[in-house]
Amino acid sequence: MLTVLLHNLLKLLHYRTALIYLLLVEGGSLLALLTVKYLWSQAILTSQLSSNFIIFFLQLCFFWLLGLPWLLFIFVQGCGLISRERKEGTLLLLVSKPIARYKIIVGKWLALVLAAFILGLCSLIITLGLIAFFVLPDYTIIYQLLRFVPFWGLYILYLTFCLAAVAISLSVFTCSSRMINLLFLGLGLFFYVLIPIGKAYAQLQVKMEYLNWLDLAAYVQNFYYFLISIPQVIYGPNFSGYCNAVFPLGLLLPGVISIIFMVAAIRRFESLDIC
Amino acid sequence: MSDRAVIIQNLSYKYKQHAALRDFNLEVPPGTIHGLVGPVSAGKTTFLNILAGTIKTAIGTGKIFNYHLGSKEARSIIGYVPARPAFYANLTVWEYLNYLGRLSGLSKRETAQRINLLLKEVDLYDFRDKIPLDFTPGMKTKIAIVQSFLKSPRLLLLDEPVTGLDEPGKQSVLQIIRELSFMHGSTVIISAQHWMDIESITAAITFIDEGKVMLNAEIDEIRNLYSYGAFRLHTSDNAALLDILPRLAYPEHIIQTEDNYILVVTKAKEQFRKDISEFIYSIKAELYYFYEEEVNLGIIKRYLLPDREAE
Repeated sequence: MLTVLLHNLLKLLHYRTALIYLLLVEGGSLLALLTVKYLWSQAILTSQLSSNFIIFFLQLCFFWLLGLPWLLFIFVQGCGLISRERKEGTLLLLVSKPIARYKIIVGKWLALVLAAFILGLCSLIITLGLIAFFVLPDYTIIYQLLRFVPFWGLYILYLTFCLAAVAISLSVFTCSSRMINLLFLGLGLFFYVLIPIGKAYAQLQVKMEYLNWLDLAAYVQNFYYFLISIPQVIYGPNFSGYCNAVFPLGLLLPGVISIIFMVAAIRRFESLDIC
Repeated sequence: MSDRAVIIQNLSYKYKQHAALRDFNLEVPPGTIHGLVGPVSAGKTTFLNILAGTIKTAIGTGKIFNYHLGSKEARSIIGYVPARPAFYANLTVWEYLNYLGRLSGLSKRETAQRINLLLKEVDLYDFRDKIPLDFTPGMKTKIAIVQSFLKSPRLLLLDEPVTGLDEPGKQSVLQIIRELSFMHGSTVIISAQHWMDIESITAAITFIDEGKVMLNAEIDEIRNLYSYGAFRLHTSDNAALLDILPRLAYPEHIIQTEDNYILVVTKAKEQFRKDISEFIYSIKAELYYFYEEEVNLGIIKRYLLPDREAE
Protein backbone atom coordinates (compact mmCIF):
# COMPACT_ATOMS: atom_id res chain seq x y z
CA MET A 1 0.00 0.00 0.00
CA LEU A 2 2.90 2.31 0.78
CA THR A 3 4.22 1.84 -2.76
CA VAL A 4 0.84 2.82 -4.23
CA LEU A 5 0.59 5.76 -1.83
CA LEU A 6 4.05 7.11 -2.65
CA HIS A 7 3.65 6.61 -6.39
CA ASN A 8 0.34 8.48 -6.44
CA LEU A 9 1.52 11.18 -4.06
CA LEU A 10 4.45 11.97 -6.34
CA LYS A 11 2.14 11.92 -9.33
CA LEU A 12 -0.32 14.28 -7.66
CA LEU A 13 2.39 16.62 -6.46
CA HIS A 14 4.02 16.71 -9.86
CA TYR A 15 5.66 20.12 -10.07
CA ARG A 16 3.43 21.32 -12.92
CA THR A 17 0.17 20.45 -11.15
CA ALA A 18 1.37 21.92 -7.87
CA LEU A 19 2.65 25.06 -9.54
CA ILE A 20 -0.58 25.70 -11.43
CA TYR A 21 -2.55 25.13 -8.26
CA LEU A 22 -0.42 27.42 -6.12
CA LEU A 23 -0.34 30.10 -8.81
CA LEU A 24 -4.13 30.01 -9.03
CA VAL A 25 -4.64 30.20 -5.29
CA GLU A 26 -1.94 32.70 -4.53
CA GLY A 27 -2.87 34.80 -7.54
CA GLY A 28 -6.41 34.97 -6.18
CA SER A 29 -5.22 35.76 -2.67
CA LEU A 30 -2.88 38.46 -3.91
CA LEU A 31 -5.68 39.96 -5.97
CA ALA A 32 -7.93 40.02 -2.89
CA LEU A 33 -5.16 41.59 -0.84
CA LEU A 34 -4.44 44.25 -3.44
CA THR A 35 -8.16 45.01 -3.74
CA VAL A 36 -8.44 45.56 -0.01
CA LYS A 37 -5.26 47.62 -0.03
CA TYR A 38 -6.67 49.74 -2.83
CA LEU A 39 -9.98 50.26 -1.03
CA TRP A 40 -8.04 51.24 2.05
CA SER A 41 -5.91 53.71 0.16
CA GLN A 42 -9.07 55.19 -1.34
CA ALA A 43 -10.13 55.99 2.22
CA ILE A 44 -13.13 53.73 1.96
CA LEU A 45 -11.91 51.71 4.90
CA THR A 46 -9.69 54.24 6.61
CA SER A 47 -11.96 54.58 9.57
CA GLN A 48 -11.70 50.89 10.28
CA LEU A 49 -9.00 49.20 12.28
CA SER A 50 -6.37 47.04 10.69
CA SER A 51 -8.02 43.94 12.22
CA ASN A 52 -11.08 44.62 10.11
CA PHE A 53 -8.83 44.75 7.12
CA ILE A 54 -7.52 41.31 7.96
CA ILE A 55 -10.98 39.87 8.51
CA PHE A 56 -12.22 41.38 5.28
CA PHE A 57 -9.24 39.98 3.42
CA LEU A 58 -9.56 36.55 4.95
CA GLN A 59 -13.22 36.40 4.06
CA LEU A 60 -12.37 37.36 0.51
CA CYS A 61 -9.64 34.82 0.06
CA PHE A 62 -11.09 32.06 2.25
CA PHE A 63 -13.46 30.85 -0.42
CA TRP A 64 -10.70 31.12 -2.95
CA LEU A 65 -8.14 29.35 -0.82
CA LEU A 66 -10.41 26.43 0.05
CA GLY A 67 -12.85 27.09 -2.72
CA LEU A 68 -12.80 26.52 -6.41
CA PRO A 69 -9.11 25.65 -7.11
CA TRP A 70 -8.88 23.35 -4.12
CA LEU A 71 -12.16 21.58 -4.85
CA LEU A 72 -11.19 21.30 -8.49
CA PHE A 73 -7.83 19.85 -7.55
CA ILE A 74 -9.37 17.20 -5.32
CA PHE A 75 -12.12 16.26 -7.74
CA VAL A 76 -10.22 16.37 -11.01
CA GLN A 77 -7.23 14.51 -9.57
CA GLY A 78 -9.28 12.19 -7.36
CA CYS A 79 -11.66 11.16 -10.10
CA GLY A 80 -8.74 10.40 -12.39
CA LEU A 81 -6.91 8.20 -9.92
CA ILE A 82 -8.98 5.15 -10.85
CA SER A 83 -10.92 6.09 -13.97
CA ARG A 84 -7.95 7.58 -15.84
CA GLU A 85 -5.78 4.57 -15.04
CA ARG A 86 -8.59 2.32 -16.18
CA LYS A 87 -8.99 4.22 -19.43
CA GLU A 88 -5.27 4.37 -20.14
CA GLY A 89 -4.83 0.67 -19.33
CA THR A 90 -2.34 0.96 -16.46
CA LEU A 91 -4.91 -0.31 -13.95
CA LEU A 92 -5.02 -3.68 -15.72
CA LEU A 93 -1.42 -4.38 -14.82
CA LEU A 94 -1.82 -2.92 -11.36
CA VAL A 95 -4.65 -5.30 -10.38
CA SER A 96 -2.78 -8.28 -11.81
CA LYS A 97 -0.06 -7.75 -9.19
CA PRO A 98 -0.25 -9.63 -5.87
CA ILE A 99 -1.67 -6.69 -3.94
CA ALA A 100 -5.16 -6.63 -2.41
CA ARG A 101 -7.48 -4.36 -4.32
CA TYR A 102 -8.61 -2.48 -1.23
CA LYS A 103 -4.99 -1.49 -0.67
CA ILE A 104 -4.92 0.12 -4.11
CA ILE A 105 -8.00 2.21 -3.31
CA VAL A 106 -6.89 3.15 0.19
CA GLY A 107 -3.35 3.93 -1.01
CA LYS A 108 -4.69 6.24 -3.70
CA TRP A 109 -7.13 7.86 -1.32
CA LEU A 110 -4.44 8.55 1.29
CA ALA A 111 -2.18 9.93 -1.43
CA LEU A 112 -4.93 12.32 -2.51
CA VAL A 113 -5.62 13.34 1.10
CA LEU A 114 -1.92 14.02 1.69
CA ALA A 115 -1.41 15.86 -1.59
CA ALA A 116 -4.46 18.11 -1.13
CA PHE A 117 -3.53 18.67 2.50
CA ILE A 118 0.03 19.63 1.63
CA LEU A 119 -1.15 21.97 -1.13
CA GLY A 120 -3.89 23.46 1.08
CA LEU A 121 -1.42 24.02 3.90
CA CYS A 122 1.18 25.52 1.54
CA SER A 123 -1.31 27.95 0.10
CA LEU A 124 -2.54 28.80 3.60
CA ILE A 125 0.99 29.56 4.79
CA ILE A 126 1.79 31.62 1.69
CA THR A 127 -1.47 33.56 2.10
CA LEU A 128 -0.73 34.24 5.74
CA GLY A 129 2.78 35.28 4.73
CA LEU A 130 1.29 37.75 2.30
CA ILE A 131 -0.92 39.20 5.04
CA ALA A 132 2.01 39.40 7.43
CA PHE A 133 3.97 41.26 4.78
CA PHE A 134 1.20 43.82 4.39
CA VAL A 135 0.49 44.36 8.12
CA LEU A 136 4.09 44.53 9.32
CA PRO A 137 5.07 45.48 11.97
CA ASP A 138 1.81 44.62 13.77
CA TYR A 139 3.06 41.56 15.65
CA THR A 140 -0.20 41.13 17.58
CA ILE A 141 -2.03 40.35 14.36
CA ILE A 142 0.75 38.10 13.09
CA TYR A 143 0.78 36.21 16.39
CA GLN A 144 -2.99 35.74 16.20
CA LEU A 145 -2.71 34.48 12.66
CA LEU A 146 0.00 32.01 13.59
CA ARG A 147 -2.17 30.63 16.40
CA PHE A 148 -4.85 30.12 13.83
CA VAL A 149 -2.72 27.96 11.48
CA PRO A 150 -3.06 24.55 13.24
CA PHE A 151 -6.83 24.85 13.47
CA TRP A 152 -7.23 25.90 9.89
CA GLY A 153 -4.87 23.03 9.04
CA LEU A 154 -7.19 20.62 10.84
CA TYR A 155 -10.12 22.00 8.93
CA ILE A 156 -8.28 21.49 5.64
CA LEU A 157 -7.39 17.92 6.64
CA TYR A 158 -10.97 17.06 7.56
CA LEU A 159 -12.38 18.50 4.35
CA THR A 160 -9.72 16.74 2.30
CA PHE A 161 -10.49 13.44 4.01
CA CYS A 162 -14.15 13.75 3.09
CA LEU A 163 -13.89 15.17 -0.42
CA ALA A 164 -11.15 12.76 -1.48
CA ALA A 165 -13.32 9.82 -0.41
CA VAL A 166 -16.22 11.10 -2.53
CA ALA A 167 -13.97 11.77 -5.52
CA ILE A 168 -12.33 8.32 -5.41
CA SER A 169 -15.70 6.62 -5.00
CA LEU A 170 -17.14 8.37 -8.03
CA SER A 171 -14.03 7.31 -9.91
CA VAL A 172 -14.68 3.66 -9.05
CA PHE A 173 -18.34 3.71 -9.97
CA THR A 174 -17.89 5.23 -13.40
CA CYS A 175 -14.92 5.43 -15.70
CA SER A 176 -16.43 8.24 -17.75
CA SER A 177 -14.82 11.51 -16.72
CA ARG A 178 -17.74 13.37 -18.29
CA MET A 179 -20.13 11.51 -16.02
CA ILE A 180 -17.97 12.31 -12.97
CA ASN A 181 -17.84 15.99 -13.86
CA LEU A 182 -21.60 16.04 -14.31
CA LEU A 183 -22.07 14.32 -10.94
CA PHE A 184 -19.68 16.77 -9.33
CA LEU A 185 -21.54 19.69 -10.89
CA GLY A 186 -24.86 18.18 -9.82
CA LEU A 187 -23.70 17.72 -6.22
CA GLY A 188 -22.31 21.25 -6.13
CA LEU A 189 -25.50 22.72 -7.51
CA PHE A 190 -27.62 20.70 -5.10
CA PHE A 191 -25.75 21.59 -1.94
CA TYR A 192 -24.58 25.09 -2.72
CA VAL A 193 -27.44 26.46 -4.85
CA LEU A 194 -30.59 24.42 -4.55
CA ILE A 195 -30.52 23.84 -0.80
CA PRO A 196 -29.64 27.45 0.22
CA ILE A 197 -32.26 28.87 -2.16
CA GLY A 198 -34.79 26.26 -1.06
CA LYS A 199 -34.06 27.07 2.57
CA ALA A 200 -34.42 30.79 2.01
CA TYR A 201 -37.68 30.31 0.12
CA ALA A 202 -39.10 27.88 2.64
CA GLN A 203 -38.26 30.13 5.53
CA LEU A 204 -40.17 32.94 3.85
CA GLN A 205 -43.27 30.78 3.53
CA VAL A 206 -43.30 28.53 6.52
CA LYS A 207 -40.61 27.19 8.83
CA MET A 208 -39.22 23.99 7.34
CA GLU A 209 -36.53 23.04 9.79
CA TYR A 210 -35.85 19.67 8.20
CA LEU A 211 -34.28 21.41 5.22
CA ASN A 212 -31.36 22.21 7.50
CA TRP A 213 -30.58 18.53 7.62
CA LEU A 214 -29.82 18.56 3.94
CA ASP A 215 -27.50 21.52 4.18
CA LEU A 216 -24.09 19.87 3.79
CA ALA A 217 -22.38 23.23 3.62
CA ALA A 218 -23.75 24.07 7.04
CA TYR A 219 -22.30 20.88 8.50
CA VAL A 220 -18.88 21.74 7.16
CA GLN A 221 -19.26 25.29 8.40
CA ASN A 222 -20.18 23.95 11.82
CA PHE A 223 -16.96 22.01 11.93
CA TYR A 224 -15.04 25.09 10.96
CA TYR A 225 -16.80 27.15 13.62
CA PHE A 226 -16.08 24.49 16.21
CA LEU A 227 -12.38 24.60 15.38
CA ILE A 228 -11.92 28.35 15.38
CA SER A 229 -13.83 28.69 18.63
CA ILE A 230 -11.14 26.61 20.37
CA PRO A 231 -8.27 29.12 20.17
CA GLN A 232 -10.59 32.13 20.43
CA VAL A 233 -9.17 33.49 17.23
CA ILE A 234 -10.78 36.70 16.15
CA TYR A 235 -9.48 36.68 12.59
CA GLY A 236 -11.17 34.59 10.02
CA PRO A 237 -14.63 34.16 8.59
CA ASN A 238 -17.18 33.38 11.26
CA PHE A 239 -20.01 31.23 10.07
CA SER A 240 -21.83 30.98 13.35
CA GLY A 241 -24.64 33.10 11.97
CA TYR A 242 -25.34 30.60 9.20
CA CYS A 243 -25.18 27.44 11.19
CA ASN A 244 -28.62 26.08 11.69
CA ALA A 245 -27.83 22.40 11.58
CA VAL A 246 -27.46 20.28 14.65
CA PHE A 247 -24.03 21.04 16.06
CA PRO A 248 -22.60 17.57 16.86
CA LEU A 249 -23.84 16.25 13.52
CA GLY A 250 -21.98 19.03 11.85
CA LEU A 251 -18.77 17.55 13.19
CA LEU A 252 -19.44 13.95 12.28
CA LEU A 253 -21.79 13.76 9.33
CA PRO A 254 -19.34 14.63 6.50
CA GLY A 255 -16.90 12.09 7.92
CA VAL A 256 -19.55 9.39 8.23
CA ILE A 257 -20.78 10.04 4.68
CA SER A 258 -17.22 9.79 3.39
CA ILE A 259 -16.63 6.49 5.15
CA ILE A 260 -19.85 5.11 3.64
CA PHE A 261 -18.66 6.25 0.20
CA MET A 262 -15.26 4.63 0.73
CA VAL A 263 -16.70 1.30 1.91
CA ALA A 264 -19.05 1.21 -1.08
CA ALA A 265 -16.16 2.04 -3.43
CA ILE A 266 -13.92 -0.67 -1.96
CA ARG A 267 -16.69 -3.28 -2.22
CA ARG A 268 -17.37 -2.31 -5.80
CA PHE A 269 -13.68 -2.28 -6.73
CA GLU A 270 -13.12 -5.71 -5.17
CA SER A 271 -15.59 -7.30 -7.59
CA LEU A 272 -14.88 -5.13 -10.61
CA ASP A 273 -13.83 -6.83 -13.85
CA ILE A 274 -10.96 -4.87 -15.33
CA CYS A 275 -10.25 -5.69 -18.94
CA MET B 1 -2.22 -32.05 -6.53
CA SER B 2 -1.94 -31.79 -10.26
CA ASP B 3 1.19 -31.90 -12.39
CA ARG B 4 -0.28 -29.29 -14.75
CA ALA B 5 0.72 -25.64 -14.78
CA VAL B 6 -2.77 -24.56 -15.78
CA ILE B 7 -6.04 -26.46 -15.53
CA ILE B 8 -9.19 -24.71 -16.67
CA GLN B 9 -12.59 -26.38 -16.55
CA ASN B 10 -15.85 -25.11 -18.01
CA LEU B 11 -14.89 -21.49 -17.84
CA SER B 12 -17.58 -19.09 -19.04
CA TYR B 13 -17.74 -15.35 -19.03
CA LYS B 14 -20.27 -12.90 -20.37
CA TYR B 15 -19.41 -9.36 -21.30
CA LYS B 16 -22.75 -7.55 -21.12
CA GLN B 17 -24.92 -9.79 -23.35
CA HIS B 18 -22.05 -11.20 -25.36
CA ALA B 19 -20.64 -14.58 -24.31
CA ALA B 20 -16.88 -13.98 -24.39
CA LEU B 21 -16.02 -17.51 -23.18
CA ARG B 22 -18.20 -20.61 -23.33
CA ASP B 23 -17.32 -23.78 -21.41
CA PHE B 24 -13.66 -23.22 -22.03
CA ASN B 25 -11.31 -26.05 -21.06
CA LEU B 26 -7.56 -26.07 -21.20
CA GLU B 27 -4.61 -27.86 -19.70
CA VAL B 28 -1.05 -26.64 -20.05
CA PRO B 29 1.90 -28.76 -18.92
CA PRO B 30 4.61 -26.97 -16.93
CA GLY B 31 7.69 -25.61 -18.65
CA THR B 32 6.09 -25.37 -22.09
CA ILE B 33 5.18 -22.47 -24.35
CA HIS B 34 1.52 -22.79 -25.26
CA GLY B 35 -0.11 -20.75 -28.01
CA LEU B 36 -3.62 -19.35 -27.99
CA VAL B 37 -4.76 -18.44 -31.46
CA GLY B 38 -7.97 -16.89 -32.69
CA PRO B 39 -9.43 -13.95 -34.56
CA VAL B 40 -10.30 -10.60 -32.98
CA SER B 41 -12.98 -11.01 -30.25
CA ALA B 42 -12.40 -14.77 -30.07
CA GLY B 43 -11.96 -14.55 -26.29
CA LYS B 44 -8.16 -14.68 -26.02
CA THR B 45 -7.76 -11.47 -24.01
CA THR B 46 -10.71 -12.34 -21.77
CA PHE B 47 -9.17 -15.73 -21.01
CA LEU B 48 -5.76 -14.23 -20.22
CA ASN B 49 -7.39 -11.55 -18.05
CA ILE B 50 -9.17 -14.25 -16.07
CA LEU B 51 -5.87 -16.10 -15.58
CA ALA B 52 -4.20 -12.82 -14.54
CA GLY B 53 -6.95 -12.22 -11.98
CA THR B 54 -8.22 -8.96 -13.40
CA ILE B 55 -11.62 -10.48 -14.28
CA LYS B 56 -13.28 -11.80 -11.17
CA THR B 57 -16.80 -12.75 -12.12
CA ALA B 58 -16.12 -15.63 -14.53
CA ILE B 59 -17.98 -18.90 -13.97
CA GLY B 60 -16.08 -22.19 -13.85
CA THR B 61 -13.04 -23.53 -12.11
CA GLY B 62 -9.38 -23.26 -12.71
CA LYS B 63 -6.03 -23.60 -11.05
CA ILE B 64 -2.59 -22.25 -11.72
CA PHE B 65 0.06 -24.45 -10.15
CA ASN B 66 -2.68 -25.62 -7.77
CA TYR B 67 -3.62 -22.09 -6.71
CA HIS B 68 -7.13 -20.88 -7.39
CA LEU B 69 -7.62 -18.44 -10.25
CA GLY B 70 -7.42 -14.82 -9.13
CA SER B 71 -6.05 -15.64 -5.68
CA LYS B 72 -3.15 -13.60 -4.30
CA GLU B 73 -0.94 -16.71 -4.43
CA ALA B 74 -1.78 -17.26 -8.08
CA ARG B 75 -1.14 -13.61 -8.95
CA SER B 76 2.20 -13.70 -7.16
CA ILE B 77 3.53 -16.37 -9.56
CA ILE B 78 2.17 -14.80 -12.73
CA GLY B 79 3.80 -12.36 -15.09
CA TYR B 80 1.39 -10.58 -17.40
CA VAL B 81 1.96 -8.63 -20.59
CA PRO B 82 -1.27 -6.96 -21.76
CA ALA B 83 -2.11 -6.52 -25.43
CA ARG B 84 -1.39 -2.81 -25.40
CA PRO B 85 1.21 -2.13 -22.72
CA ALA B 86 0.30 1.11 -20.98
CA PHE B 87 2.77 3.39 -19.25
CA TYR B 88 2.59 6.35 -16.90
CA ALA B 89 3.21 9.71 -18.48
CA ASN B 90 5.39 10.86 -15.60
CA LEU B 91 7.53 7.76 -15.07
CA THR B 92 10.74 6.81 -16.83
CA VAL B 93 11.40 3.20 -17.81
CA TRP B 94 13.37 2.64 -14.62
CA GLU B 95 10.76 4.27 -12.36
CA TYR B 96 7.96 2.33 -14.06
CA LEU B 97 9.75 -0.98 -13.61
CA ASN B 98 10.70 -0.09 -10.05
CA TYR B 99 7.06 0.68 -9.19
CA LEU B 100 5.78 -2.60 -10.62
CA GLY B 101 8.66 -4.57 -9.11
CA ARG B 102 7.86 -3.22 -5.67
CA LEU B 103 4.18 -4.04 -6.18
CA SER B 104 5.20 -7.59 -7.07
CA GLY B 105 6.69 -7.90 -3.61
CA LEU B 106 10.38 -7.47 -4.40
CA SER B 107 12.65 -5.48 -2.10
CA LYS B 108 14.12 -2.19 -3.28
CA ARG B 109 17.55 -3.74 -3.81
CA GLU B 110 16.26 -6.84 -5.54
CA THR B 111 14.12 -4.74 -7.84
CA ALA B 112 17.02 -2.52 -8.84
CA GLN B 113 19.28 -5.51 -9.52
CA ARG B 114 16.70 -7.30 -11.61
CA ILE B 115 15.76 -4.19 -13.61
CA ASN B 116 19.35 -3.54 -14.57
CA LEU B 117 19.92 -7.17 -15.48
CA LEU B 118 16.76 -7.55 -17.56
CA LEU B 119 17.13 -4.20 -19.32
CA LYS B 120 20.59 -5.27 -20.41
CA GLU B 121 19.14 -8.60 -21.62
CA VAL B 122 16.71 -6.81 -23.94
CA ASP B 123 19.20 -4.12 -24.99
CA LEU B 124 17.20 -1.27 -23.47
CA TYR B 125 19.50 -0.35 -20.60
CA ASP B 126 20.48 2.91 -22.29
CA PHE B 127 16.82 3.94 -22.37
CA ARG B 128 16.23 3.48 -18.64
CA ASP B 129 15.89 7.21 -17.98
CA LYS B 130 13.50 7.88 -20.85
CA ILE B 131 9.70 8.10 -20.70
CA PRO B 132 8.46 5.03 -22.64
CA LEU B 133 5.33 6.68 -24.08
CA ASP B 134 7.10 7.65 -27.30
CA PHE B 135 8.90 4.33 -27.77
CA THR B 136 8.26 2.12 -30.79
CA PRO B 137 5.71 -0.70 -30.31
CA GLY B 138 8.55 -3.22 -30.20
CA MET B 139 10.35 -1.34 -27.44
CA LYS B 140 7.13 -0.97 -25.45
CA THR B 141 6.53 -4.71 -25.72
CA LYS B 142 10.07 -5.41 -24.53
CA ILE B 143 9.61 -3.12 -21.50
CA ALA B 144 6.33 -4.90 -20.73
CA ILE B 145 8.10 -8.25 -21.01
CA VAL B 146 10.83 -7.03 -18.66
CA GLN B 147 8.25 -6.03 -16.04
CA SER B 148 6.61 -9.45 -16.33
CA PHE B 149 9.94 -11.19 -15.64
CA LEU B 150 10.90 -9.03 -12.65
CA LYS B 151 9.78 -11.67 -10.16
CA SER B 152 10.72 -14.78 -12.19
CA PRO B 153 7.14 -15.84 -12.95
CA ARG B 154 6.19 -19.49 -12.95
CA LEU B 155 3.48 -18.66 -15.47
CA LEU B 156 3.88 -15.94 -18.06
CA LEU B 157 0.84 -14.61 -19.91
CA LEU B 158 1.50 -12.69 -23.12
CA ASP B 159 -1.43 -11.12 -24.91
CA GLU B 160 -0.60 -10.71 -28.59
CA PRO B 161 2.94 -9.47 -28.01
CA VAL B 162 3.88 -9.60 -31.72
CA THR B 163 0.72 -8.10 -33.21
CA GLY B 164 1.52 -4.91 -35.08
CA LEU B 165 5.27 -5.52 -35.15
CA ASP B 166 7.33 -5.84 -38.33
CA GLU B 167 9.11 -9.14 -39.05
CA PRO B 168 12.46 -8.27 -37.40
CA GLY B 169 10.55 -6.87 -34.41
CA LYS B 170 8.50 -10.07 -34.14
CA GLN B 171 11.57 -12.28 -34.28
CA SER B 172 13.38 -10.16 -31.70
CA VAL B 173 10.45 -10.26 -29.26
CA LEU B 174 9.94 -14.01 -29.74
CA GLN B 175 13.61 -14.66 -29.13
CA ILE B 176 13.50 -12.65 -25.91
CA ILE B 177 10.44 -14.58 -24.75
CA ARG B 178 12.08 -17.91 -25.56
CA GLU B 179 15.36 -17.04 -23.86
CA LEU B 180 13.91 -15.43 -20.75
CA SER B 181 11.29 -18.13 -20.22
CA PHE B 182 13.98 -20.77 -20.57
CA MET B 183 16.29 -18.96 -18.12
CA HIS B 184 13.51 -18.54 -15.55
CA GLY B 185 11.90 -21.94 -16.14
CA SER B 186 8.56 -20.29 -16.83
CA THR B 187 5.50 -21.82 -18.43
CA VAL B 188 4.23 -19.46 -21.11
CA ILE B 189 0.81 -18.85 -22.62
CA ILE B 190 1.11 -16.59 -25.62
CA SER B 191 -1.76 -15.39 -27.79
CA ALA B 192 -1.79 -14.32 -31.42
CA GLN B 193 -4.22 -13.83 -34.26
CA HIS B 194 -2.25 -16.04 -36.66
CA TRP B 195 -0.65 -19.28 -35.63
CA MET B 196 2.38 -18.70 -37.84
CA ASP B 197 3.30 -15.61 -35.80
CA ILE B 198 4.15 -17.79 -32.80
CA GLU B 199 4.78 -21.26 -34.22
CA SER B 200 8.56 -20.86 -33.93
CA ILE B 201 8.42 -20.91 -30.12
CA THR B 202 5.28 -22.85 -29.19
CA ALA B 203 5.02 -26.53 -28.32
CA ALA B 204 1.25 -26.67 -28.76
CA ILE B 205 -1.51 -24.35 -29.86
CA THR B 206 -5.14 -24.00 -28.85
CA PHE B 207 -7.34 -22.42 -31.49
CA ILE B 208 -10.32 -20.55 -30.16
CA ASP B 209 -13.23 -18.79 -31.75
CA GLU B 210 -16.34 -17.18 -30.28
CA GLY B 211 -15.17 -18.14 -26.81
CA LYS B 212 -14.87 -21.86 -27.54
CA VAL B 213 -11.91 -24.15 -28.03
CA MET B 214 -11.91 -25.20 -31.69
CA LEU B 215 -8.76 -27.26 -31.82
CA ASN B 216 -5.98 -28.19 -29.47
CA ALA B 217 -2.90 -29.76 -31.04
CA GLU B 218 0.86 -30.13 -30.92
CA ILE B 219 2.76 -27.77 -33.17
CA ASP B 220 4.01 -30.54 -35.50
CA GLU B 221 0.47 -31.70 -36.11
CA ILE B 222 -0.64 -28.13 -36.83
CA ARG B 223 2.23 -27.60 -39.27
CA ASN B 224 1.22 -30.83 -40.98
CA LEU B 225 -2.45 -29.81 -41.19
CA TYR B 226 -1.64 -26.39 -42.58
CA SER B 227 0.65 -27.90 -45.25
CA TYR B 228 -2.44 -29.14 -47.10
CA GLY B 229 -3.86 -27.30 -50.06
CA ALA B 230 -7.59 -26.88 -50.62
CA PHE B 231 -8.97 -26.52 -54.15
CA ARG B 232 -12.51 -25.53 -54.90
CA LEU B 233 -13.83 -26.51 -58.34
CA HIS B 234 -16.99 -26.22 -60.32
CA THR B 235 -17.38 -27.76 -63.77
CA SER B 236 -20.17 -28.47 -66.24
CA ASP B 237 -20.07 -32.14 -65.15
CA ASN B 238 -19.21 -32.37 -61.46
CA ALA B 239 -20.60 -35.91 -61.17
CA ALA B 240 -18.19 -37.29 -63.79
CA LEU B 241 -15.28 -35.47 -62.21
CA LEU B 242 -16.14 -36.89 -58.81
CA ASP B 243 -16.06 -40.35 -60.37
CA ILE B 244 -12.59 -40.05 -61.82
CA LEU B 245 -10.82 -37.90 -59.20
CA PRO B 246 -10.36 -40.86 -56.80
CA ARG B 247 -8.11 -42.40 -59.43
CA LEU B 248 -5.49 -39.89 -58.46
CA ALA B 249 -3.13 -41.43 -55.93
CA TYR B 250 -2.51 -38.37 -53.80
CA PRO B 251 -5.69 -36.43 -52.84
CA GLU B 252 -6.64 -37.08 -49.21
CA HIS B 253 -10.14 -35.69 -49.39
CA ILE B 254 -12.54 -35.19 -52.27
CA ILE B 255 -15.82 -33.73 -51.11
CA GLN B 256 -18.90 -32.42 -52.83
CA THR B 257 -19.97 -29.36 -50.87
CA GLU B 258 -23.55 -28.29 -50.15
CA ASP B 259 -23.31 -25.52 -52.71
CA ASN B 260 -22.42 -28.11 -55.42
CA TYR B 261 -18.72 -27.39 -55.57
CA ILE B 262 -15.97 -30.00 -55.42
CA LEU B 263 -13.44 -29.50 -52.68
CA VAL B 264 -10.13 -31.30 -53.01
CA VAL B 265 -7.79 -31.30 -50.04
CA THR B 266 -4.33 -32.57 -50.81
CA LYS B 267 -0.71 -32.22 -49.90
CA ALA B 268 0.44 -32.61 -53.52
CA LYS B 269 -0.63 -29.10 -54.48
CA GLU B 270 1.71 -28.66 -57.44
CA GLN B 271 0.86 -32.06 -58.88
CA PHE B 272 -2.86 -31.46 -58.57
CA ARG B 273 -2.59 -28.11 -60.37
CA LYS B 274 -0.88 -29.92 -63.23
CA ASP B 275 -3.23 -32.95 -63.35
CA ILE B 276 -6.60 -31.29 -63.00
CA SER B 277 -6.74 -29.80 -66.51
CA GLU B 278 -6.13 -33.23 -68.06
CA PHE B 279 -8.88 -34.78 -65.98
CA ILE B 280 -11.38 -32.13 -66.95
CA TYR B 281 -10.36 -32.48 -70.58
CA SER B 282 -10.76 -36.27 -70.40
CA ILE B 283 -14.43 -36.00 -69.34
CA LYS B 284 -15.10 -33.26 -71.90
CA ALA B 285 -16.33 -30.89 -69.23
CA GLU B 286 -16.02 -27.15 -68.98
CA LEU B 287 -14.27 -25.59 -65.99
CA TYR B 288 -16.38 -22.79 -64.48
CA TYR B 289 -14.52 -22.15 -61.30
CA PHE B 290 -11.12 -23.08 -59.86
CA TYR B 291 -9.76 -21.54 -56.70
CA GLU B 292 -6.98 -22.55 -54.38
CA GLU B 293 -7.86 -21.46 -50.88
CA GLU B 294 -5.90 -21.34 -47.67
CA VAL B 295 -6.48 -24.26 -45.38
CA ASN B 296 -8.33 -22.80 -42.44
CA LEU B 297 -9.66 -24.01 -39.16
CA GLY B 298 -13.07 -24.73 -40.71
CA ILE B 299 -11.58 -27.08 -43.31
CA ILE B 300 -9.35 -28.75 -40.73
CA LYS B 301 -12.17 -29.36 -38.31
CA ARG B 302 -14.65 -30.42 -40.95
CA TYR B 303 -12.59 -32.52 -43.31
CA LEU B 304 -9.17 -33.28 -41.85
CA LEU B 305 -10.07 -33.94 -38.22
CA PRO B 306 -13.81 -34.59 -38.23
CA ASP B 307 -13.65 -36.96 -35.28
CA ARG B 308 -11.37 -34.85 -33.07
CA GLU B 309 -13.02 -33.44 -29.97
CA ALA B 310 -12.09 -29.85 -29.22
CA GLU B 311 -10.78 -30.66 -25.77
